[in-house]
Amino acid sequence: MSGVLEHATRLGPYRARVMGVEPLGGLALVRVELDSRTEVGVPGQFHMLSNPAGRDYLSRPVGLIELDGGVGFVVDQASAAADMAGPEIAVLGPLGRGFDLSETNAETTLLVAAGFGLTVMAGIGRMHRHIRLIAGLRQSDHLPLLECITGVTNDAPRIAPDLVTEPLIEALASGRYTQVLAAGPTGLGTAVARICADHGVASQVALEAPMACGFGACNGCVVPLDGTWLRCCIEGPVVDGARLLA
Amino acid sequence: MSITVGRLALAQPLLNGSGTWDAEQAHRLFGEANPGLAGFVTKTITPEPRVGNPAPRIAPARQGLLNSIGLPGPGREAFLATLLPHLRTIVDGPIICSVGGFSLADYVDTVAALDDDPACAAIELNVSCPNVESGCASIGGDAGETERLTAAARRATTKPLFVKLSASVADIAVIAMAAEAGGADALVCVNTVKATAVDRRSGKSWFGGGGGGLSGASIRPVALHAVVACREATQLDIVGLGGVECADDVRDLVAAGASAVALGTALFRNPALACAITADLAS
Repeated sequence: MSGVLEHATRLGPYRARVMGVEPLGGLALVRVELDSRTEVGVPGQFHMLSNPAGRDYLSRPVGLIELDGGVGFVVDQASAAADMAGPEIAVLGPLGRGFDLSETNAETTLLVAAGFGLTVMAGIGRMHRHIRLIAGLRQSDHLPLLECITGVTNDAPRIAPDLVTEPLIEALASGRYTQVLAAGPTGLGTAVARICADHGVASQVALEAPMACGFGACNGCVVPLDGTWLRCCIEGPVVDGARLLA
Repeated sequence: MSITVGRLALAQPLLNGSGTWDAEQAHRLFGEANPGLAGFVTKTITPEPRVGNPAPRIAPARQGLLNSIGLPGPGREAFLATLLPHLRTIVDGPIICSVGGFSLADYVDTVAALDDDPACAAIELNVSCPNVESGCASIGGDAGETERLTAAARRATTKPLFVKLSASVADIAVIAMAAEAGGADALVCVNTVKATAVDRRSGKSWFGGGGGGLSGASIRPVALHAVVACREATQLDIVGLGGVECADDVRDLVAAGASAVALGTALFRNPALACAITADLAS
């Protein structure tokens, strides 16, 4: 890796050593050893990862997962082989706003996530054992992804075209839940926020957007918030669900 | 290694390209508004507030980045009242204010307002943004319009006046000479190159706002050509910009004729890149 990482801001980029790549169906779990200065952050925050030896010209936003015995992240298998195989990668972060977990508990908080958004829930599962998760996956070979999300109580995962919104509506009708924490594509986030608003339940949603920088410089990651276009990396990625409905 | 570019003194030759850095957010996140940079070039200030283009705004390219951002910003009034005073408290070095608009009056009114503000050290006329519906690139694509605008701005300010050019023109040397004739102090070469990504299903632009510009390593030879052409055509100082990633890229642009060099897309991967390049240049 070039000498540029000898110079870093207080959030990096710092080197991380790739310790191994494990297949997760059509995805891959990349285990890394972070530099001691890199913090994982709170669930919902993200890091920008780059590999000067890889194909990607830009960094990519990734949610780090705390695992037994280390830290990792999930990417598709092709990316893992071509861009994140190491031996070292550069890590900038943690960035963005994570979940406000001050009101979170396993009895009255419900998790809803789909796709890579599921990785965001791993940290919450470690803090709040047996918290209920409604999971959605784009395809069945992504099922092994759920092995990374420990601590949660999983419903049977919904595989597209089945939607997570159906079991969400049923769960909220029980009256048990006062808060929903969601993560996934903007369409899912908006649907969850709408359903929660209809049931008088608070929601926080971790949004996804393509990013070039992750720290507010490029203005590329805008999402529809408050009735306008705002930067996902600065306003979010975790936002109050009501802001998606404005 | 202090230098002067277009009557503006800089402690060293590295700047950011307009639109590629947010000093306010950098200060909040990193504790430094412009790490390793000799000053700060603002995002382009337009007369009215602008939301910018709808998503999607970016797309990856081989060895580059495509963007269609659309000049989002608070507008002139809020910039002068709130943002510029704040920037002056956090930025290390001079602040160069990038000015854009959709008519000659848009530019001149903002230039005149900035002329009264001591927080603004120099003014850069953005006549080359490819991602807005009118103005900007259509001015910078025409030598007569460029000269008229530069001359009008020149009458409105005594501050150093830079003109940021596009390589997406028939002959950048002709536009550079027009800026010189209008009274510019320096040229900035170059803005993103007109480019796009397509939606395969519709055949239309991938971007929510249409348009598009290419930046990053893939345009480095384009920037070098632009600097050489402008150096040969004018006597103006030049800020070289386009795909700079390392000290050798800086050396190439300086050898081509640039007095100062700006970083852009590469800052997205490493916000401390200017510190690394400065160290390499000194070694």
